Amino acid sequence: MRLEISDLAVSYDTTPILKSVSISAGKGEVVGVIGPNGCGKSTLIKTIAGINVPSAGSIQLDNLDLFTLPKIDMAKRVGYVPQDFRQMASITVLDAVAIGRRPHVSWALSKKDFAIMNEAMKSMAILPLAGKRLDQLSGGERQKVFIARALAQQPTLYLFDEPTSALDIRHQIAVFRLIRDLAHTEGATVLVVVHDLNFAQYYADRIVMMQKGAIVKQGTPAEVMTREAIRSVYGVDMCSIATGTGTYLLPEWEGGEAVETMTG
Amino acid sequence: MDEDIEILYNREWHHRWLVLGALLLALLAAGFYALNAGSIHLSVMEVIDALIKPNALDTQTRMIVLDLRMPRILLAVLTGASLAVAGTVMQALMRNPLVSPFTLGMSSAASFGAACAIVMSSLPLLSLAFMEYQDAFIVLSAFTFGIGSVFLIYAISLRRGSTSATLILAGVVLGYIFQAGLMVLQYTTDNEKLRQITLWLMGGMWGANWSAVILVTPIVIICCAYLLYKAWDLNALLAGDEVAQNAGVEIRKVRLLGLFFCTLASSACLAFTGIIGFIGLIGPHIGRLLIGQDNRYLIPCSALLGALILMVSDTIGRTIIEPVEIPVGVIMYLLGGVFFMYLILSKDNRIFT
Repeated sequence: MRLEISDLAVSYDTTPILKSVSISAGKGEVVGVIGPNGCGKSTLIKTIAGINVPSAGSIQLDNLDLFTLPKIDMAKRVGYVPQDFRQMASITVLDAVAIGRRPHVSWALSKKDFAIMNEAMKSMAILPLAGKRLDQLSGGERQKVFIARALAQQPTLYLFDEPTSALDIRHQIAVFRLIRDLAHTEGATVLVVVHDLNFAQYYADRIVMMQKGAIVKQGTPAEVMTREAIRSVYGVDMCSIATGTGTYLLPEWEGGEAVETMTG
Repeated sequence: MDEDIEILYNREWHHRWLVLGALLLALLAAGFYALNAGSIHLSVMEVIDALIKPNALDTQTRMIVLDLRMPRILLAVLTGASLAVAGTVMQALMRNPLVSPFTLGMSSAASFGAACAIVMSSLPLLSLAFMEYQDAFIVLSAFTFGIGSVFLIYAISLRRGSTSATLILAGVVLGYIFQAGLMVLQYTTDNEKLRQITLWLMGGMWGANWSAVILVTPIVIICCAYLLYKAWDLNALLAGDEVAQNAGVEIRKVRLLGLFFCTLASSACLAFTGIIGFIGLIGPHIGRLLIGQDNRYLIPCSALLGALILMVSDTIGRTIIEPVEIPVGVIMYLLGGVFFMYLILSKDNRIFT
């Protein structure tokens, strides 16, 4: 399993959204994508998922060109969890998760399909919700349903667009642990857009830092997430605090620096 | 709480087949009653005889059962089924519970097409050519305009996005435009044609005959089979365009072809029966209450419900104040209005929230 993105560019009308993005990721790797709002993180994820059409560049998965690959074959390889799932009808949780099996079945669901769905729902702790409709759920529960749906698809490449935006801290940790297990234990490749820099540095094997549609830096968390890089991309000063359990990035409140660099 | 989802799914599965079986039985029973009912009363035995050994009966009974009531019932079944299936599928394609062949302006466009065909058949040159094929010409014209309207709406949605508000607005506006065209035709044509158009607009099963049934049956079967075959794609669309795309659905293609087959089926039927509203909304909505959102079951369920509702309504229409017939279109408006009033007023409705 190898993902090779080379010189990818995406434009909306004539405005460039992504500029010459190149990323390569291997089997068993969690790649965290960070960067300020509007820097093109979601566009990048959606383009890899085949939702946006690129204006240049290529994306290859195991030497297969993702743009010419039949949609159904792509669906078996790439699983995507959108950031925004308001576009849904009032289907049941079970029906929603079953959509993940669609690329693999022609009509009826087999015992194997149920076992896979069961596993996916169990890992997201949504089994008790199986019969509920999506519009009866909380935002966080819904987010877990959409993650379970992607898990049921059993892809080799996972694309998560801020998968924990609606979740409390306990579930955030659970989701990131799951993401790490998907990569490290099951050998999947994971690209995940993360806003929380602490989660990014702790759970990602590699970090891609983006700004204004381009990659400014990529490498290990320690290499990428330096004080200078964070200041130049976010305009915020962060300090690194080491304790017995790990290193934490925290913003420097009212340091004066933060507010000024935002405008500059 | 953590029961195995396969058990849950199988329980639903049994429930769904039970509902489908019950509806099928109800449809057969209602069909049998409809063969029986009418201004000329027949005994149960006479109807059974007509069905299994038609030659043993006198010509009049045979004609009533086999040549008058039978094609009428079949056409009602076909029309009800195809309008309900079209409604179900369009609602899934647009992810909007209020979309139907009726609300998307397709009915107005088909009316305009049919009226055009009716009026044009009196033009000196065309009258010779179309005298014998007027029915076919009406079907063709109604269909052409019907499908045209759907493509216009789709074209608008491509420019302005495909939010439900845009689509419904586009449909309503197109509906008005075709309505205007229809009024012009009605105003300028002669009395005979006007009557023909008016009857067509009211929607009824009096146009039923075997050739209509034979013409419509393959179209409806092919369209419904295709749409049912796409049930998984429709399910995926219910979770949003992005999720559907990730599950391998080519959404643009599915939307275009889906709309095309919906319109093909419904305008083929409407061309013979005239405008029959609300079936495309009532069928799917009762179906969802009975069977859920999974289109693999919802499509057949809506088809059965639509067929049942339309056939029963038509039977009521032709028997309630016999020998006078009330057009089934009128009954549908009444029934549909009451049903939707109920949905709006009912506390736990989840369709309009």
